[in-house]
Amino acid sequence: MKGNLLIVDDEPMLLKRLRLNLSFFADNVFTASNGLEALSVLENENVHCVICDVNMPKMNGIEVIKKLREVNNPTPFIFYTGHGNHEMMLEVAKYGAFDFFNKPDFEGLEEVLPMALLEGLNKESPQESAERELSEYQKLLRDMDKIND
Amino acid sequence: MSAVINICYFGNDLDFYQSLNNYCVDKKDLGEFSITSSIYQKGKLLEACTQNFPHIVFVDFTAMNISSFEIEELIFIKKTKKFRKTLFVALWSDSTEMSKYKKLSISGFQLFYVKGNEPDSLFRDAFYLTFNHVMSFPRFAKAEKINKTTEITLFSELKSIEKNKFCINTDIETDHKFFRMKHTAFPDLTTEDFSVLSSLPIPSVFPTTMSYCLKLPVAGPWEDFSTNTIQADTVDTWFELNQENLLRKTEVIKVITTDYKLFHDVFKEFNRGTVDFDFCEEVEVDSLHTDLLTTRPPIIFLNTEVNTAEGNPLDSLQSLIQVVLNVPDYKPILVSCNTASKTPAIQKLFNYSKIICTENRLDNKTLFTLINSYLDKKKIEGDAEALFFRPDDERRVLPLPVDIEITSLTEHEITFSTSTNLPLYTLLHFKLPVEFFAITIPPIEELPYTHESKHYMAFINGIGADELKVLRKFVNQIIYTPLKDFHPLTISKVLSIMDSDQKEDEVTAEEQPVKKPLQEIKVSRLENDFLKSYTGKSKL
Repeated sequence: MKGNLLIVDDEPMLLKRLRLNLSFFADNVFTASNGLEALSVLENENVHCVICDVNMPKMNGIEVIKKLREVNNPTPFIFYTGHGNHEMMLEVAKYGAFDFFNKPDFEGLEEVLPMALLEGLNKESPQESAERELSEYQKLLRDMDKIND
Repeated sequence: MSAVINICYFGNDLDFYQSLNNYCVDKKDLGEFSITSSIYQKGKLLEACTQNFPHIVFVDFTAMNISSFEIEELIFIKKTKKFRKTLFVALWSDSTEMSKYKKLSISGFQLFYVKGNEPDSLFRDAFYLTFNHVMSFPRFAKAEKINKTTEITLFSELKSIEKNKFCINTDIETDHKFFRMKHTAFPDLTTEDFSVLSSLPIPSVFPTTMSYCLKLPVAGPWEDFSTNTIQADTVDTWFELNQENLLRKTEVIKVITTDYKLFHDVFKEFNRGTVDFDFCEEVEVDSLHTDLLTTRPPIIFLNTEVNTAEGNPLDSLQSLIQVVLNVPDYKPILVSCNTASKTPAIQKLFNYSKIICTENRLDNKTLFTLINSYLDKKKIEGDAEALFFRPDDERRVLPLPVDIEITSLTEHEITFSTSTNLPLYTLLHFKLPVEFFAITIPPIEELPYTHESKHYMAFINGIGADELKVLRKFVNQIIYTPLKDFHPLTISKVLSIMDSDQKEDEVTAEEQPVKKPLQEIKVSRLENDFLKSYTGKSKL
């Protein structure tokens, strides 16, 4: 099982392109053209990862993730944004961002997406808390080694 | 709700404990007192501090051998911002043992008391140093306009040594290019002038406020030998001989947390290790910048609470990164706990590659493993060149001379002017007219302005009951017979005159009348004009 993906963007061309490029990585790819639509999909479908533009009309990425976290939905969010949106990135990061990418090149997204979907699947069927803590701990050590090198 | 004032007493002197209780009963308007009493054991001081966060801690050395007191524990506590304002008072019974307590003065104790004296005087001083409260002080007989120069000592710390330089921590703030002192690690070195290579303020690392790196005058193999220099071979031999006794401190690790359980665990785990810890509760931009400039920790753990009234952990992380980026040539590893976002997201958000994030709180296991993982790598890269003196090493106590001009003297206060900048609450050591310590304070009376020097008032403490009697008589003597100078010979002459007077008194079986306090003056640290205009540093 690869997991289900939701892509949220107000630009139809970009939405189409991302859907085409990323369909290989997910079982189902849903799309939404704004935050309100995204919330509706999230309410009705079993989504394991959201790829979302930070800056959108009607309801932006910050409000989407905020609403979702308010109902304790831990689905991983990958955000993308144009340059100069640091304040908005900081705001979404407070609610939990899996990763950030720059629009329009999305370099590295294909490597990160499977990890985010896996995390979403794991969160759906939660491991024992001790086991999760252990894996978080091992990840920290790996990160430490990487940075230390 | 009134404030709770926590006082800890370590000792078994029931009379002293009772006197303390009685004194606190009279000070009810300050708040509700919680006084705990226990016998000192290793680890107890840390436990008491992290559980009670005391305002004043009395450690009674009459109940134990000083060697059983763990100085590391006190230093660990006192160098942490949270306990910076906690006043540590050492009590002992024999004033002739004062030399043993010098290293306590550079380790965090700021007030000394020799049993046998009136304890209320100690409590009054301790409360004045600790609380912003109106205190009443007895007005003692005062010798004024003494205006005689003398040399006193500020005990400082010889912190570390390398083959061509050494590092001292002191309260003296100077622009001078040289430091005058006698080197305690190389007693054969006759030079008393050591040139300053660099200096840094250390606002959060107690017990001192300044750190200086000084040049060790090493003569190369082809240079002429003089007693003002030390041969490189001698330094090498010294290092070989002292490798075992000294510590190799490789790093300072900074931990930003309010979890004092971690503080306790870290001390137990790394107490005698090669790592120093610097704990603080929050990211305070100005002081943090100075801290990082001085200590340059290679890892900083940020364990702020999730969504507190002050904000989200990411706000603290953002401030921390801004401070880090303002320190030249410095890129530490930042471990951000309680962080909802993943490491790559945060690295990109702040454009800082050396961040690790976890959504979990920092626990001791994670802290220790990450530090050890870092240190293991560090060992492969090479050992540190600097050797650090152990807290109980006598050579660590570096007596720095301070020239002063004594302006007035009572049996309780001394005022003096000096060109040396001294922070408030600095402990100084006097040998004349008797041996005592004195702590600089916001003056309880107005001090006349001096043009080129600073004018300080200090509370006399750590003086034995017999010495206090001598001091009292000395003051009375010089009120009527002003001193020619403050030279040891002159002082001993005055003291011998006093002795002979006393003997005559003894023959006639008449006691020398001792001047009793005439009246009391009331003074508050908050209302003190000196403090309002004071721009210097303070250690409490």
